Amino acid sequence: MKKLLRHIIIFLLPVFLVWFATELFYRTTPNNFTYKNKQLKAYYDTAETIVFGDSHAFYGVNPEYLDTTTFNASNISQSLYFDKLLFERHIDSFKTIKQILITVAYTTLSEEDNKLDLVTRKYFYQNQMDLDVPLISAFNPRKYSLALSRSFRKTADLIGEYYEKGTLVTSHPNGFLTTNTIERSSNDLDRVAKIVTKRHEDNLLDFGKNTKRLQSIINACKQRDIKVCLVSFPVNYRYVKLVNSDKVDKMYATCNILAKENENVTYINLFEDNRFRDEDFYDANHLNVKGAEKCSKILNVLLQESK
Amino acid sequence: MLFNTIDFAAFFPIVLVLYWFVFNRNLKFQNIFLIGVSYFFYAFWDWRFLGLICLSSIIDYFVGLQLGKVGGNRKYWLCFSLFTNLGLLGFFKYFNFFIDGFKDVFMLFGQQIQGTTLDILLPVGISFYTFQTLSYTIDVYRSKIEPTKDVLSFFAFVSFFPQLVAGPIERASNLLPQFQIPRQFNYERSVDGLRLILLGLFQKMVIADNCAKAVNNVFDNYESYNGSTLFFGAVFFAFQIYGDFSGYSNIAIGTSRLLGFNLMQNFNSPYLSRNLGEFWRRWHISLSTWFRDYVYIPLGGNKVSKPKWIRNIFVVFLISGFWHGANWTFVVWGMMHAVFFLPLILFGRNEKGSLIADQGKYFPSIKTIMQIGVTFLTVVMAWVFFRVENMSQAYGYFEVLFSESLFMSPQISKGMVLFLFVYMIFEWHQREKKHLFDFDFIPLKSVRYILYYALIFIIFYFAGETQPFIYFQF
Repeated sequence: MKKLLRHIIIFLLPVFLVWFATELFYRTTPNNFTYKNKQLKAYYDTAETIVFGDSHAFYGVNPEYLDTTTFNASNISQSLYFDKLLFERHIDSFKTIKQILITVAYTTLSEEDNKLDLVTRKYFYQNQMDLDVPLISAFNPRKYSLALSRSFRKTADLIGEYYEKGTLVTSHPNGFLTTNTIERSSNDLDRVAKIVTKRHEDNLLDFGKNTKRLQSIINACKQRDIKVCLVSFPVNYRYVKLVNSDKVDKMYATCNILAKENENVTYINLFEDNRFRDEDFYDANHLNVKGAEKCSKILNVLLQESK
Repeated sequence: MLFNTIDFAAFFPIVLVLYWFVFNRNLKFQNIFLIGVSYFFYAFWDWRFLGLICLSSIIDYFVGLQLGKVGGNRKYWLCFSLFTNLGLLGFFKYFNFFIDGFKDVFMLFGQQIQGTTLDILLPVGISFYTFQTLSYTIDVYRSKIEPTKDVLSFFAFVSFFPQLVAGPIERASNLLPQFQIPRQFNYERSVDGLRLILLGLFQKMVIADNCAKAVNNVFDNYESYNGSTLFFGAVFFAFQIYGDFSGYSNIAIGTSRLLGFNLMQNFNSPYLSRNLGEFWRRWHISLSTWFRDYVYIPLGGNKVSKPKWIRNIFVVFLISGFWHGANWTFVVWGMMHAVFFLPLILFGRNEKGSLIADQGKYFPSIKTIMQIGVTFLTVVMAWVFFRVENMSQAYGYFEVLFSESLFMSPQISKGMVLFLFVYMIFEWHQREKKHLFDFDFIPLKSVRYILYYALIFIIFYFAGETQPFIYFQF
C-alpha cells in the first residue's frame, strides 16, 4: 500500500503543479469580482446611488447618464441572494448614499439560492468580494480553492482570454459593462428568445423567500433613510410573448405591493416598455449600448420625479 | 456524494489511508469503519433515508437467521422479507403511479374516485440495495448459501458505499464472504482499480456529460428540429446512458478493488453486440443476471414450451422496464425489447456463443458490422422511450423522427459524432482485453504514462457540465 501511495503521489505531482498554477492565476489576475469589489470601496465617499442586480442592470444602467454619482454593482447572474449579501457588507460604509436600485427581472423573485448558474460564481463572491456566503459549507474544498471551482476548460479559456486581451475585467470604473456595444448577439431574435425563455423558465411561482429578502433590504434602507427603487428592465417583445404571463403579473403585483406598503420604495416597470425596439437590444433580454443609454436616461428622469 | 466530484476526491483518499493503515489490524474494526463511511457517503445525499437501509439490513439479517433453521416457517419468513423490502420499494417508487393508474381505470368506466398522491422523495439507490438484500434472503431460502451470523459483515454488505446507490447489484454469494475474511492488499489489482476509475471518469465526464447537453437540447425542443437531428439526439442519448452508467460501475469496481474487494463486471461493450440477446449479456449484467436467476429461471426459463418461453421473456422485460421507473414509458421500453427479442427465440438464434466477435481479427467482417449496426439501431430506438417524459412526447418525437426531414442535414455537433465513432473503434480494438483501459499490450512504461496523462488531460479539459448520474433516479 505504501508503494502504491508513493507511486500515486509521484504520478499526480504534475497534476498538483497545474492546480497550483491555476490557483495562482485566479488569485493574482483581476476580474469583475475583484474589480467591482475594489470600485465599491472606491465609491464609499462619493456614491449617491448604487445599482444592484444581474446582467440586466449590468447591460442596462450606464451611470454616466445619471445625474447622481452612481456605481453599478450588478454582475452577470447576480441574484437577490448576493445583492443582499453585498448590500449588508457595504451599506454602512457609504457616506453619501441616498438611494439604491434593485433589479427585479423575470427570474429574480422565484430564483432558488443554489441554482446552477451560481454553482461556481458563489466561490468567487466568497473569495474575491469579501463575502461570507452561508451557502458554502466549511467542509467544501472549493471554499478554499478557486481552481477547483471552475472546469479546467473554462480556466484554460480564461487564461487564453487574458493573454489575448490583457485583462479579464469587463467593467468600467463606474461598473457599467465595457463589452456592451451596438452589436447584436444574433440576427435571429426569435430563435434567441425561444432559447433564453426556455432557460429562464423555472416553473416556480413561489416568491416568498426572495420577497422577504427584498423586504429586509427595504427595512434596512428605511432605518438609514435610503430610498429603494425596484426596476424591471426592458426586454424584447419576443421574450415577453414567450414567458409565463401569470408569473409576470405576479412580479408586477409583488413590486407594486412593496412600493405601496413602504414609503421609501418606488417601482419602475420598463419590462414591456414599447419605447425599446429591436435596435436597442443586444439579445432577447439585454440592452445594447444604445438601449442602455436610452434606459439610463429614462431612469434618470423617473428617479428625479420620484424624489 | 458523486464519484466525479471534488468531495469524493477528498473523501476517498482519507478513507483509503485510514482503512489500510489504521483499521487494517482488526477485521471487525475494518468492517465497522466501512459501515460508518458508507453511511456517511449516503448521508451526504439525504441522511433521512439512512433508516431505510438500516431497516432493510436488520430485517434481512434476522430473516436470514430464521431461514437457516431447519424446519419452521421458512416460506413465511421469505414472504416477510419480500413483503417488507418490495413494500418499501413499492411505496417510495410506485405509490403515486398506482394511485394515478387506478384513477384512470375508474375514469374509463365513468367513475370518478378520490385518491391523493403524495409528495414522496425517492430514496437514492433503493432499487439497488433492495434487490441486493433480496438476493441474500432468496439464496438462503434456496439453501444456496449459509445465513451469516456476522451482523457487521451483513450490514457492510448491504451498505458498501462504492456500489450502494447504483450497483453493480451484488450477490451475497460473491460479496458477503469478502467481508468475512481479512482483506489482502494487492498492488497489481489496485493499479488496475485505478485504471478502472480513470475509465469510469472518462466515460462519465467526457462521454456522458457532453452527450447530455446535446440530448437535453434535442429532447426538450424536439418540435423545432428535423428528423435527422432527432435521430442523432437518440444516438447521443444511447451514449449518454452508456457512459453514465458504465462509468459509474467502473468507478465502483475500481474503488472496491482499492479496498480489496472484487465486484462483478456490469458492462462489457454492449454496443458491439450482434443481437439483442448478446446485448443483454453485456448491458447492466448484474441486473440482467438478477432477473435471470430470480424471475426467469423460476418461471421455467427456456426449459418450457415455446409459448411459455415467450411469456417468460415478456414477464422479465416488463418487470425490468417497471423496475427502472414508475412510468408507462419504461414499460413500453421493456415491451419493445421483448418484442425485438422474439425473432431470436422463434428462429433459435439466442445461442450463447462467444461474446467476442471476430476473435483475433483486426477488422470486423461485413456480416458483423451489419449485425452490430442493426442491434444498435434497435436499442437506440427503444432508448427514446427511456428518455421521454411521457407517451405523448414519445409519439411526437417519433412523428418528427420518421418524417421526410429524416433525410435533411442534422443540426448537431459533427465533432461529437466523430468522437463517438472513434470511441467505438477503440472499444472494438480493446474487445479482447480485461477492460477498455487495459494498456498492458503497450510494452514501454513511459508510453503508458504519457497515455495516462493524456487521458487525465482529456477528462479535465473536455469534461461536460456535471450532470447527476441517470441511474440514481432508479
